[in-house]
Amino acid sequence: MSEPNAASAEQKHDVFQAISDPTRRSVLRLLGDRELPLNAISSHFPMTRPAVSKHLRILAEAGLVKERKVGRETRYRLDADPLRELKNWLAFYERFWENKLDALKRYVETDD
Amino acid sequence: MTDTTQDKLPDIRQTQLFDASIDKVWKAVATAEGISVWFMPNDFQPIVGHEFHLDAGPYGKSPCKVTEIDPPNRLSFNWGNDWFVTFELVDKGGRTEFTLIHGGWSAEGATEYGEPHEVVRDRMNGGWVGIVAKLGEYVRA
Repeated sequence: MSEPNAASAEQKHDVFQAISDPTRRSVLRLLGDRELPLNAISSHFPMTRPAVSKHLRILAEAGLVKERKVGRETRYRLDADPLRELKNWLAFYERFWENKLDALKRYVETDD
Repeated sequence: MTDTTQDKLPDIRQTQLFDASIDKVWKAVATAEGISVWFMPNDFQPIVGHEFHLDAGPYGKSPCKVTEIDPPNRLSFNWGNDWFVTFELVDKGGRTEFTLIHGGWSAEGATEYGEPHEVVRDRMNGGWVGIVAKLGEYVRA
C-alpha cells in the first residue's frame, strides 16, 4: 500500500517519510557525492526505472533531492538541508534523555 | 522483530557512569517508586507482559508494556505504539555503567497504526516540551 502513486504528487512527503524507506536511503547515499541521471541511479537497484523515478519524486517533494535538466537528461543531486529538521527533532529527545539521566544520576548517587 | 526493522531511524543511545552499586541503580530503574523519582509517575511492575502507564501530566498517560526483565542488567518496555525503551546496566567494580536506548523512530510504524507520522510527532513534541519544562523546575527547586 505504501507504493507511491500518481496522487502522491499533490500530497507532500516530509523528510521522515522520505527517509523511512531503505531504497530511498540508498539513493541518498548514492547521490551523496555526485549528480546522476535516472539511468545511472536505477542501475543500482533491482527495480524498474519508473519505480526508482517514484522514489526520486518522493525525495524531491521532501526537498532532499534537487533535479536539473542537462540537454534531454534530468540529473539528480542531494540537498541535505532538510535533514536538519530531522536532526533537530532527534536532538530534542537527546536533550530530554540527558536531563532524565542527570536526574537519575543524582538520585542513585545520593546516600540513603 | 519483523523485517520492518531496517526501515527504522537510528536509536537514541546514551551511556553514563553512576557512582552507585548496580543493585541501587536497578532499584531506581526497575521499580515504580524509583522511576517516578527521576522519570515520570507510573504503575510499573518488573514483570514481562505487565501493562502500565507513564503519566505525562497534562499531556496524558502513555500505555506501556514490559517486554524484557533481566535483573539487574536489562529492562525493556514498549512506550506507546511506536517506541521502545531499554535500560542496560553493567557492573563496573562497584560503579554502574548505565545505557539508555530509545528506539522505534519509524514513519512506517506510524502508518501501521493508521495515524500520520507527522501527527504523532507534533503531539509528542508538545508533550516533551512540557515534560522538559517541568523537569527544569524540579531540578532548580
